[in-house]
Amino acid sequence: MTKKEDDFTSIIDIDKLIHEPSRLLILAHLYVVESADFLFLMHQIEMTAGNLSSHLSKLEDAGYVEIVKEFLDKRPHTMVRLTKIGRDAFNAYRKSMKRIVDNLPGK
Amino acid sequence: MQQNINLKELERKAYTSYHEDGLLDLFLGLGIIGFVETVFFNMTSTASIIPALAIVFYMVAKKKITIPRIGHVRFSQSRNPHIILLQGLLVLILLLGLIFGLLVWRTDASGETPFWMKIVLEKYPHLIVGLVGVLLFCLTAYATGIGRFYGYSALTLVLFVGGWMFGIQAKRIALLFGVAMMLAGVVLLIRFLRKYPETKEEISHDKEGG
Repeated sequence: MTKKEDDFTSIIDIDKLIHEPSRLLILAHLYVVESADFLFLMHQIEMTAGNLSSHLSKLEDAGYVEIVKEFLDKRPHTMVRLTKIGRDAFNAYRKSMKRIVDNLPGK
Repeated sequence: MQQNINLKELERKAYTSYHEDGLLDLFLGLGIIGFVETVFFNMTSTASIIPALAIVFYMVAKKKITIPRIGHVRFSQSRNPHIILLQGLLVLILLLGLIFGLLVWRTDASGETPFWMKIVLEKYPHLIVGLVGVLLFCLTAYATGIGRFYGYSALTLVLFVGGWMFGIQAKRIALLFGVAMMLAGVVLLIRFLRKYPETKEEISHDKEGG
């Protein structure tokens, strides 16, 4: 495979689940902490509860995040953490994007 | 929503937003006031309890005020090297203080306190306390990324050098600094409470996305 074909394949192979901006932000925030609860993510990412919930469900289905529901002081509490699969996928996504951007002509 | 993703900046933002509440400033200020007050009245045994009490109240306030408003977060190992560095330096400073104290105590007991040490301790207590304060606040600001601690460092320098120049007692300067820090904490807390009102409704993840 030539270098140009390889770069083209990299674009096609980009993980589209991560590439969506909101989910990318969620993963980036979870990447830098050990775990965070739903409310903390909502404030940090500035997203509505419904939107965040919907994106988290997709990430959970892909096995990228682990969601643990518990009760603290009789109030529901959702802790979210990045799984090993999610961390690896995020790292792979960063590498792919960097390779694509680095190979763009013009600089 | 943010458009640029800088992981280091995200980590710093997550960490500093957790200390936006001013509770650290408030209880540190109160701790300093309590400590200085007890030293003023020669209640040295009580003085040691004050910092411990401030830590307990800080932790309770964090749980009751901050977490219900901005949520809970545990930080990753990558931030720990900075904290370990800070802890190491604090231990080093305490050890140096202890060695210096022992040196003063020993030489004083034998009546052979070196001349330079007498000069330093009696004439420049402001500068010693001020220098330690500047160092501690700078280290805290560097290790935690909380920028306002550089401000406290500068304030320490100005107050203690000013106090030395105008002949104001070091204890009074420390008290003034504690009050300033406490007031800054109150202002930050009020701002935090306005920015993040506590929600009565339960906010948590719903698998259906709502």
